[in-house]
Amino acid sequence: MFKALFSGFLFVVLVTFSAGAKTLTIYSAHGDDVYGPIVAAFEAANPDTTVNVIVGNTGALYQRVRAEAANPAADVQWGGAIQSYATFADLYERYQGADLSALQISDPNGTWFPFSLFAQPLMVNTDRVETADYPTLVRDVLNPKYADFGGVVLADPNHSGTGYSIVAGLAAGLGWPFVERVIKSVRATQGSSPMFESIRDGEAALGWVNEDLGAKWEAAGLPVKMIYPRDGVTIQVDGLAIVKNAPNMAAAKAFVDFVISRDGQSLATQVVKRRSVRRDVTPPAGLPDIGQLNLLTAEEPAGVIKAKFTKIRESK
Amino acid sequence: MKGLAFLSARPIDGWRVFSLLCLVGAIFLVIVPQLWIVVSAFYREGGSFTIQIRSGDLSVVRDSTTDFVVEREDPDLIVLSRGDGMRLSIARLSPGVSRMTASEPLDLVGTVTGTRLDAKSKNTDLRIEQTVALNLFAPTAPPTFEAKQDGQSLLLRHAKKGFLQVHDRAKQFSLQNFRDFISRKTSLQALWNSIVVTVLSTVFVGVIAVPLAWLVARYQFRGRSALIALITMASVSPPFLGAYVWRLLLGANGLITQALGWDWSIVGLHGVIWVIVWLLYPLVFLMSLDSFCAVDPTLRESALSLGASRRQSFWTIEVPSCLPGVLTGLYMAAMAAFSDFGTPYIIALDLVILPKMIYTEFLNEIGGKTSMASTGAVVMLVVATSFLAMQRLILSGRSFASVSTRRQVLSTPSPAVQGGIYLFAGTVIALAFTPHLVVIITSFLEWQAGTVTAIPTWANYQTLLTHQLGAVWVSLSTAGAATVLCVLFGVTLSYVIVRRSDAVIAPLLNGIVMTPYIIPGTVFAIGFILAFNQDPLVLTGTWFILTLSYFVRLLPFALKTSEAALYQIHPALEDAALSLGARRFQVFTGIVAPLVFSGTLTGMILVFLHGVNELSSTILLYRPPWTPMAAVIFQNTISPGANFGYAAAMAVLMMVILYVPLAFIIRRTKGNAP
Repeated sequence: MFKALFSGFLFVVLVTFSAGAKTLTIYSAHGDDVYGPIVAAFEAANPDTTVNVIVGNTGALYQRVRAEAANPAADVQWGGAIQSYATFADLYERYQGADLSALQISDPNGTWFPFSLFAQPLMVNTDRVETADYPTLVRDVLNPKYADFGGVVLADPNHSGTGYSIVAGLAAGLGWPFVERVIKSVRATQGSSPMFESIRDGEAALGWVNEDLGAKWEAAGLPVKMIYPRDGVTIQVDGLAIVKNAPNMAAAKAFVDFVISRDGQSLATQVVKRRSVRRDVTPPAGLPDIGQLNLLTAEEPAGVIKAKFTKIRESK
Repeated sequence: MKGLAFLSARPIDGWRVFSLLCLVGAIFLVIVPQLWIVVSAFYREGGSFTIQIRSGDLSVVRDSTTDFVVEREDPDLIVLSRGDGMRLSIARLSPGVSRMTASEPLDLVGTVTGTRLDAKSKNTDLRIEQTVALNLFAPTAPPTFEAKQDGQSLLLRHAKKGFLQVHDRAKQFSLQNFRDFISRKTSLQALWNSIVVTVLSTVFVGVIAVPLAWLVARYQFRGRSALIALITMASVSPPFLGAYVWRLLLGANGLITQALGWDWSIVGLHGVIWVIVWLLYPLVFLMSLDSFCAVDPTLRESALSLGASRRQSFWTIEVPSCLPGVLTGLYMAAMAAFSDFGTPYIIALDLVILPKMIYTEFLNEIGGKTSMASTGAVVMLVVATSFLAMQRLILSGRSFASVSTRRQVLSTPSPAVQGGIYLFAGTVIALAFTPHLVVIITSFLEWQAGTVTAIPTWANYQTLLTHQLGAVWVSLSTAGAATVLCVLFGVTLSYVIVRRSDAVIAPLLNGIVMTPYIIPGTVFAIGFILAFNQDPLVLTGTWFILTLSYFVRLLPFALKTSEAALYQIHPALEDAALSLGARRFQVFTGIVAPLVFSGTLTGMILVFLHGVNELSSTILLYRPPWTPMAAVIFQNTISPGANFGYAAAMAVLMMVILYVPLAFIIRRTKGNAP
């Protein structure tokens, strides 16, 4: 016991001193399976920089960065929809030296940077829905039979960037009258993970999923099946940003440069199985060609989508 | 002046000085950091609206207008007004060029940055933001957005297709948030669901815990001290994993559900109550047990010798005199059920429950209505404070105390009673330990893509032993230091509240100290960061902020357990010592402290267990190298592809570290105390 305590103490002392050199602190909404390989490659390319990663829920990380604004601890925040970074833009530093030329999307204000993009197909629980009953169109989610199979789940855009992309994309592509009927008929989850997991666990029959996660679950043999509806698939971009007055600004910029670089993006596609935000990086194997999808992109800003969603739910 | 009379009381009373100092400390550690919640509930931003521009034509977006009223809506002129008489108009001069005028002079602040500009007038602090749909695959140059001061109005050059969001950031005192809260179906539903969960969980917890505690307090049987030790251990569940385990077992796809072929799921309000009951009954058991053990046996004996029946003596002597512990335990359980957001977050899926609603609104990833969350938090505080007042009213109105320090003699149960005890205790212990057992099993299994497989492995433990042992030290030292502080202040504060009660300081202290118990940990942590992240006192990212946060959040356990014990000790004991010439401090250390030892020990154990387990504030406050075990567990459960097996292994290590010394302490003290 004493030995364990002592070695623990020694460990902490060692970490404290080694951290004195040059530390890059990242607040990450991604787990070790996503950030691990990219951080390792960054450290290998920048031997004088040690990276500290603090993991948290996207929402909690924004609030932490906001609360710490007077004396920031983080250099970079990573993970979460780009619309959220745009909403909280006051918390982040503008960085205009980055090479954006090969990117498919970038922030006109220069605060957020894209990390990856992914489509959001439908996902059914195969234990609850027979093959013959699989939807082929987004419009099929209104079919009352899904209520009997366990219901449809949708992440509330008031709480989830994923939910925002889905609702805003559907509204732009298929119109509000349709979306209003969807919003009235679904079970709204307060976050995207509860939506994904409730389909996986059979608590619900049908819903939407981020394709990288759906692909991982399908590969692991879980009872889920992704369906790219013919009448439209929404798309989301997740990003990263440099925290305003970051204690280690140079390393933060180097990290952003690395993530959007060809090397960083190749790693992201291979490891994360997400589509690259660069035009010169080939998409990961196993996902359908994006050119064949009927993509629906958001038009209305988050504030509008949230207000309309709440109004429709309240009038239900 | 009359209100300040207590300041000039003579002679100087050490306890009064102490309680005043504590009050200052409590204000500094609780009120100041959490003041932002109240401010954000009562101060409201001045409203917002969105203008859509389609091929140069203007329109107001339906449903997204707050506080403003649309007076005129033409393709070339929009006029809005607000309750305070403020008017704003946006007139199109040509497609893509508009003039914005207010009923008072409007001044541009700073310059346009990208897509945002700020403008001010006497009564507003406007932010105007242009949003244009991003085209992913055919990038175009960012659309123009420029502004120019033109006399008392602004000249805007903007996109011909897109949105202009205008919102007034000037805050004003308003009760509108509360009006919104009671007029919104969702928030009322959330409040109602919370009350249902609180009441039903507390009733079930009481039905399980109180009779069990009474049986254990009265009878001697084999395994009695082991039983107490087990229930104490069950008072904490592996962080984060407990509720998951129930879903894994009893969800729609759960192991048990499938094995039995049920079409059923634990997901729902019933599941929340189920999980909370097995989480909280140990707390009520422990506090009731202390109370039952402290009942003066002579009272019962006298009653019986005076001809009362056993039943009469039970209802008129035993029940009333152990009320402080039982009632305080139930109060603590009710408040824990009322403020628990973790269980509903995992089990309730789409159901709204107040603490979960507050949590999700505060930690909104998409720019939330913080005001709505703070309003919900204030409503919770009001409900909780009225519960506290009720508990105080019942307890302080009568006396439960006895002068005797003689302890109960345990009787030997008949075989039937003994069998009943074993059956009852066995069932509730098995249910409370279900999460622990499943976690132990899964820690030896391989996890893939966030789901458990049947492949056995040692790898989880190997990674653990080579990587994160520093976390053990961080957890033990922070929780240990917090426990010392909690016991010191818990005992002394309970003395102030129960014995030295005056009309002002004692209830105030009681209320303030209890507040962190019902504020969700994450919300509490935000306040702590706001308070301790700037000169003169920067604690963020250090060992101290973790310790301090555990101390403040867990002090209620130590306070309430000592308080319950103190209610059962008659002040006559202290008066006797005083009259024999003992000093007040001697009375406290020599008489009071030893008598409340059993209750304090329970409090100490609860604080330490919960300190090591604390997750919700830890995840916002920790910063490497000060990473406690709970944070390591959390890090490895967060992403859907994470290795839960590693988290489970850490949870098992944590249980071993906690339970071995705990079992030892309980066997030495409570098991054979009487």
